[in-house]
Amino acid sequence: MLKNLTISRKLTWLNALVSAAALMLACMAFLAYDQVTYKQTLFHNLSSEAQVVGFNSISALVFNDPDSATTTLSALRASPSILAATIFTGNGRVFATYAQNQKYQITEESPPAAGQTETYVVTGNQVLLTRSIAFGRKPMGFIVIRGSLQELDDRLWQYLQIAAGVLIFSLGAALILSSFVRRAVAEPIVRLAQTARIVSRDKNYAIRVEPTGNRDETAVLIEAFNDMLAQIHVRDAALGIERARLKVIIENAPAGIVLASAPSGEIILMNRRAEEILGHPMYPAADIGSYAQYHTLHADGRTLQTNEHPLARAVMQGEVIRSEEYRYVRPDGKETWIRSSAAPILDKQNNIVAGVLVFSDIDEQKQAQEALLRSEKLAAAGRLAASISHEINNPLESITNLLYLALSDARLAADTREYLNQAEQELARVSQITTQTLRFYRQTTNPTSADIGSLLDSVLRLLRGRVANTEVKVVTEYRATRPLHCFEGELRQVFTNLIGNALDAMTGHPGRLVVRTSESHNWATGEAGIRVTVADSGSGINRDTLQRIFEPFYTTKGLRGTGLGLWVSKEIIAKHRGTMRVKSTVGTGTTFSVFLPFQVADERRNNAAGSASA
Amino acid sequence: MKISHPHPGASPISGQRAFALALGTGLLALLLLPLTIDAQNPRPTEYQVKAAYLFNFGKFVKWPPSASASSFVICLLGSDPFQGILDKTVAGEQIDNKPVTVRRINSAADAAGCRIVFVSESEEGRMGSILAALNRSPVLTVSDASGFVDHEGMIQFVMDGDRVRFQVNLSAAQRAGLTMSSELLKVATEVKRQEKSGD
Repeated sequence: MLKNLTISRKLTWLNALVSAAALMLACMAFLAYDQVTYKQTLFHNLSSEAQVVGFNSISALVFNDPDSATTTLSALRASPSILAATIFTGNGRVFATYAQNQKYQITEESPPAAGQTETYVVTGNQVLLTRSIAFGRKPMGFIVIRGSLQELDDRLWQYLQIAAGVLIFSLGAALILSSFVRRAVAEPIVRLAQTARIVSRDKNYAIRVEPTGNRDETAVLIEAFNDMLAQIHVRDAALGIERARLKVIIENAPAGIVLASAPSGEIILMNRRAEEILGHPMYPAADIGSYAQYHTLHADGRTLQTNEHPLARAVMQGEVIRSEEYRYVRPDGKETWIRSSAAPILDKQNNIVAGVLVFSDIDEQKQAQEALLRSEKLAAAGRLAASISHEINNPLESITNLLYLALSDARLAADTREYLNQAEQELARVSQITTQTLRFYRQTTNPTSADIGSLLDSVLRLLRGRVANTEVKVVTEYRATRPLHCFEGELRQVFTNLIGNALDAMTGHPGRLVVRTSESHNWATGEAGIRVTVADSGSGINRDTLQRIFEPFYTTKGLRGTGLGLWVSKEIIAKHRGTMRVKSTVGTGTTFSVFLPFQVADERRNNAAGSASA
Repeated sequence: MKISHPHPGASPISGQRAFALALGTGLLALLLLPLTIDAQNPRPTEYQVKAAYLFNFGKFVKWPPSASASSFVICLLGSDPFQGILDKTVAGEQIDNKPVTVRRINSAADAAGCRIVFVSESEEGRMGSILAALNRSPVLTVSDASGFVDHEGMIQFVMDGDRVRFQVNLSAAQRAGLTMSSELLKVATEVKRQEKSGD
């Protein structure tokens, strides 16, 4: 009954109950005692009346004067509790009688038993008292008095009313008193409960319960509660810092991190890098079944089943996965190589509570591997070409000499001489090709003095075939005349690359390629040198691409490009202590500007980047 | 002492002056208690009642200490109307822890030692002198002679129908130094308090 009441209510009710119970018991005891004593008093009074009346009736009995006895009896009128009285003679005859009311009249009764002077019988709320009347030692007769016990009932009723009054008053007093008790006992507890509620609702561990100032259990409880709050506060703050740290670490980690809760597999966290790699924000996945949204392929191109996802395996089987490689299909359809590791997070009982997936984008690595492969092939091809050219050179020498000897014969017919002249010209071309091929691929070890104009011409000559297939007009403006001290072969590679790119940018459209040289100064150091600009009227490069064009493996040419050309070019220019800058407007064209100082540092360094472009 | 009832066979005998009683009735009366006064059948005779009253007066009257004696003597002056009933009534009884005895005297002068003197109707002619003589000593005078209380007699039996009752001259008793119980006065039909002052 009391279970759901507040403590103060409980105290109030307990007070009231205890008071009521104590009062009831006291009242009952008092009532019982009063009833017994009052009954005794009543009987005693009746007995006294009987005695007096009996005594006063002796003479009447002795001298046979019923009138006198009747008069004596009539004095009983003064006692309202005496309903009737009758004096009987010794042989049981009515001698004198009195009755308040006729119905109470006593007409027949037997005397008290031998040896007894007085007996009484209680019937209902009446008592019949019989007392013998003796004169000296001689029995004269007996008196019977009918007494009413109504007074007893009246008294009981009155007492009950008083008890009820006292009870109501006491309960009132108890309620008033309990308000003081409540203040002293319940209020601190109520305050404690309120604070606890606030703490659990707002998660605010900074608040405290105000101490009562007493030294009772409640005070100890409040103190302990405050201590506990203080500890939680400290721990909470530490936890907050730890969480913030972890958040920063996770958010800024260079690897993609995904957290899923176990056993549902619900994805609860995905860091920024993960979104970058996957190319989309976190898909809401409430269970492992929805992992299919994260479209992942095996290396052989099969799509991963949902339970094959590394995170699913970690969450479901507690499997620890190290560095497995997959291809992820981004929303835009592009595929990227990822390397995934996953592990379950266990609690103290070794239950899986979560799973974590860490993955990195290994696309660049994959491309680097591919590029390496290709540049190795190219180098091999280059070496092969160089050795072939070298081998061809000797027979060419012989043929040239033989043709010279044949032409010096004056007997030759005119048309034969013409054929031989043509053969000599064609042979010169073959010779030039082999020489160029040799020179192009020869590993330069020392810088040599070179004319930038003829260097650029050799490059344009090399690319003549590609230019012929386009509608591009090539314009050259060579103003620089001083020779440049440089690694000729490497610079040829740079410009082949730049001009090749320019031609690519103008593929399919009429365009204009302008190659200029001028003597200039490094506007940062003031050093004298030559500036070469390669300008095209092609499609231009957008801002994002422009920022990345010097990164290795960055390409817009798909599988046709290696993403290495400009990076290698930049390295070569840097080796010459030069600078390379680019300016581009989408739809208008791109201009590469290369500055090369006249005097390159006297370095004897082998150039590692001795290979392809475009 | 047991309560007994009169013999159911006893026939009622009434009469103001009747004194002839059957021997059987007399014998039975021996067994009767003086206090057992029954208004109903069987009815005791007038002198049975009077004898009982005479004896009981002794219990409601207080004598001065000078009257002390070894026994409580009830004297009968003149002819005896009780016919021995009184003797039977008092036989074995005590008043003030003294045995009650009956003595018959012929003149007031013989009344020395008497506590109660019953003056028979036969002395009616000499009543004045008798009372004058008796009243000098603490003696309760009783008679059934008419006008007795008017002549300084103390208790006079009167008949009320067939009931025996009595009148009291309180002044006379007081003058003789006797104290009468109020209980006695209560049941008296008449209590005289004479103007005449005592000695």
